[in-house]
Amino acid sequence: MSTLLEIRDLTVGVGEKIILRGLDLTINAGETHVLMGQNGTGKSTLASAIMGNPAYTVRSGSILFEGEDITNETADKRARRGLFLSFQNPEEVPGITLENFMRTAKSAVTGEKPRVMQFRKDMNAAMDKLNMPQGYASRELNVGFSGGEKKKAEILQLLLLNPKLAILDEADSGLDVDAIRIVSDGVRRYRNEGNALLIITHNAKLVEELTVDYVHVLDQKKISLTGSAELITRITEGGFAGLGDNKADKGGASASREAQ
Amino acid sequence: MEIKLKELNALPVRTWHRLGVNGNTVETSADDTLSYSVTRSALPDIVTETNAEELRCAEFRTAVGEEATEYIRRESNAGVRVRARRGYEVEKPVTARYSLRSGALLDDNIIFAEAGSSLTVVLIFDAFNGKPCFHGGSTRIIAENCATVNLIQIQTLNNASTHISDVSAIIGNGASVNVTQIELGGASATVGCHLKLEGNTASARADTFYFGNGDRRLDFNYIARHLGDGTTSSLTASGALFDRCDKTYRGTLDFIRGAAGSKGAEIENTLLFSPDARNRSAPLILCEEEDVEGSHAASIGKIDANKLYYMQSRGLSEVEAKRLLVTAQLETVLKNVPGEEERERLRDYLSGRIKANALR
Amino acid sequence: MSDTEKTAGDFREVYDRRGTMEPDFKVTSGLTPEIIRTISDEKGDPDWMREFRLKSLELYNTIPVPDWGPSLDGLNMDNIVTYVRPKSGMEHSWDDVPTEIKDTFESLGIPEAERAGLAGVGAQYDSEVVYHSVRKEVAESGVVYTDMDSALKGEHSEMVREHFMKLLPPTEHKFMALHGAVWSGGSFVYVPPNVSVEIPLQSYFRFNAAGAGQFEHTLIILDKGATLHFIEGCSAPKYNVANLHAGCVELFVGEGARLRYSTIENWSKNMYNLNSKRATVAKDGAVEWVSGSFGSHTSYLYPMSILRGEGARMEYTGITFAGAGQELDTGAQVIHAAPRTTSSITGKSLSKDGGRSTFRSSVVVNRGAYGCKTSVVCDSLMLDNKSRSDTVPVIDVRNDDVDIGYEAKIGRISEQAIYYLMSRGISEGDAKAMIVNGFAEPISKELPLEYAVEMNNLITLEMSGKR
Repeated sequence: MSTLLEIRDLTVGVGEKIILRGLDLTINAGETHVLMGQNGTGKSTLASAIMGNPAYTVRSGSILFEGEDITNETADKRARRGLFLSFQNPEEVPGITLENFMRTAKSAVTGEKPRVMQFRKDMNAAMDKLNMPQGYASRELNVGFSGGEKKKAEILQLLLLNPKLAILDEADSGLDVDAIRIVSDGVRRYRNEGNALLIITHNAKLVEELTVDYVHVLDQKKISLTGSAELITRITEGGFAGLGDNKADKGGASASREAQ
Repeated sequence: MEIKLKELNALPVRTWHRLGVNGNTVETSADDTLSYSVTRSALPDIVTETNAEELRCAEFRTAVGEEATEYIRRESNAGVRVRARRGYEVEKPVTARYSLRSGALLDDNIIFAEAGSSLTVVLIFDAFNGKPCFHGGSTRIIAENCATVNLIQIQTLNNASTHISDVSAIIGNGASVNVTQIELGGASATVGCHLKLEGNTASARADTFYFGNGDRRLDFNYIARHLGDGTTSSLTASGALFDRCDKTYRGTLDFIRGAAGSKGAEIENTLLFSPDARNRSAPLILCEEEDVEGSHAASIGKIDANKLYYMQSRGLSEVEAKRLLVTAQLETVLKNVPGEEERERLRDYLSGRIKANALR
Repeated sequence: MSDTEKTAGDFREVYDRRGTMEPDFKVTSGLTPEIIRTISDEKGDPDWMREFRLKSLELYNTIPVPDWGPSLDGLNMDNIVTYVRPKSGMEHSWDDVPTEIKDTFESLGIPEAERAGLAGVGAQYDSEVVYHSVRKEVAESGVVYTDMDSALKGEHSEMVREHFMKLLPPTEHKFMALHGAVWSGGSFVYVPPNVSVEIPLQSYFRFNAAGAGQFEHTLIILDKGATLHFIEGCSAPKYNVANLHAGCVELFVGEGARLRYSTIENWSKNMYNLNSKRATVAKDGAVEWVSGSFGSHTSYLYPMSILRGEGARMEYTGITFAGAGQELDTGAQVIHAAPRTTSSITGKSLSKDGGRSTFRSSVVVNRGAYGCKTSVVCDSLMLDNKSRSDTVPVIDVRNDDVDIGYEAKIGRISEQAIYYLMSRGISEGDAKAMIVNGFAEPISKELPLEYAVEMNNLITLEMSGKR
């Protein structure tokens, strides 16, 4: 099985502050990973570091994608390699319609201009599946969208750009039960044997319908625990406090590494 | 011919002279012979020609200044003077497209919308070649009760030309005037717009996009004067500055006593792309009425880093993302421009002038 | 009568109490070289200062009155007496100050505040400083706090000469030229490197004479790493003739030093307040202006900060309340002359009973001053329909690596808010005063407690329309 993402001994900071220290994580094609952890443990920081957010500094360690070191690459180069991040708070960009933006992004990622009619057809189909009225295509990117609409628009972008590895940062926060199902359906539709998912969530609902291969817990600036899907149930029921007792699952990212 | 005009675009309330925002002077010269071509759309039946006589009783106020507007009207050699008949909504815009070759084009325009009518006028000023030309325009608008006037002005003169444009509107009860100005060319552009909200619930909007490159001097003066009850105004200016461009934006919300329940908002977004560009803003709120809401917000600087990162995370390079964000500003005003052909021309014009190296 | 009203009334009485003591000496009204020479003789100026005064007068005669801002038509310099010396020496103990003058300052609470928590006090009565004192331990740390006359002639004379009117030269505008010609009184402060003055110094300017001018000069120099909070207070009884205040404040903030300059201005409503204040801030230094403008007939007041060293910063928080017959034009100015300098300007203004308030500001970011940040926020409140409130800000940016934010709002007190408070049993008047005090809170919280109380009283007084 081919390795998509490999993070080695990663230390990340914002300004003076260190948020992640010595973190390891490997994600192979065909896998679905879930990242959990209490508020403020650095889950979004990890997503930002993988995507190349300039506000975060990688102090040491490396990020490899399909075997190539991307630690110092800008976000657009990473996107072109097949990385995608669904933002927790997507930016509002007035003046650019969602459709126009998606077409531009699609051509940037694939390197070829999509045919207008075909693209519109694909986009409409994807919007239907997400239960998004087609009028959204001509609305300005995220401008005036509600929290739920923004999240759906992110999943729409995921479906259209079809990346190799998608990171979903709280794709379900602020959504009602029905909307979570729609997002979850969309994510399932995206997932196939050749790609992978890293889902950051507090909510078991989003991943209920997905086959989760690994669950990681982020604590003390690194992945403190890795286990199988049943870890989600344990966390939802007992919180993070009770996890420390279970030594069997310890070993951090090495568990997923062994899976290679 | 020599053209020298003083006290242009005077700030309604003066401030420190050292800042250079109290007013502007234009000194230029143009060929004695005026040479240009003009394409005008045919007037719809319900629109008739009008003249200055019909404006006698109207008290216009100018934003660019008396000296300039009097000069333009006195020496006028062109103009669109139209009157929409009572109650008729004119769908097809009245368009005049000027292409200048040489000399000074002085157009004295009148847009008269009788009660309940609506009318759209598009004025385009373009140039044939690189010869320095002068364009001076005065546009007076009357929107009678419940009438709507949309004025779209597009300026794509060459980099050696000088442009002055004054728009003065009087807006009646329930009437609205929407002015869209797209300033993309010229060595110097002095643009003023005075929106007099005379009637109750009158409304006015001014949407401006500008593009500054080379040594262009852009000088704006927008004034919304609220007189009637429950009037609303919105002044929005967006644009990007490159090279050694020097831009001054004045925007004034003036609430006169008695304009109860009125609202005014000004928004300014300036993207800066050059360490040698200069941007001056003077957003004024003058208020002698208690029951009003006036607000102003400005953001001036480089492109927001978070927006840039978001777009890059979708695969756009830094240059592509920046280009898209500048054209996005243009798009917000292009919505008001009738005709896909003209919109496409402006998109091409702009993207052809944003040099990739300036975006790095 | 409620308690707050009583306090407000008492305040008014205190400010309005006129001194009856005849001055020791005053010049005739108007401005001539003879008058300037007389002032210079009376004050025993060094030669350079005498020259400086005469040159300033020449400038005064050539510079026009500003053609922007509020009208100065009611100010006739021919009627202004520029120098009035009270019958008092410059004392270091309140017991040596003549009773009537001492009583005035007592009723204004100055000696009490000094005992309670000031590191030093200067008190000026008309043109001369009558009292100056600094706590022993503060003086021992090397801090100099003295009246300008002593500084001009004493051991710091060279330092004074080096800095005097260098930031605000007489060429700046007509009233700085006037100041250069007739200045008298004021305070001089020097804080040595790394000395931190923990409690504030205060200078109080009391203006008693009718038809006169006060032209005090404040010069503060903070050496590297020093910190100081300086408070300036001023008041005068009301007369029917115009009085003029054209003071000059020059602040030199050294590397890494931090200066807070607080002012509660409560001049009487016959005063033309044409004061100028300017600070220059070196690398990593900071100047913070806290300003409350309540008094005067007409004010032009816009402290300027020149951020000369990298990383320097300025903060301005000001409130202006224009009541009946007042035209108060206030605000702040900043020049970002070095990279990574930051500024924050918060202006609040209120107008009531036909008063006119203008918030005026200028932010200039120089070429090459990269990475600067500035934010200007201006809120105006109209308290009735007879008044006027204008906002006149200018931003001038000369490079592209800047972060500029500007926001302004104008409106009136929300009827919903008044209704909400009234539904809890508060009278409409009290509800409004409460909301206005809340509006002023960002400024009052920057002031030491007793000054915040004074400011709240002034607001209550203005709201009751009793001034």
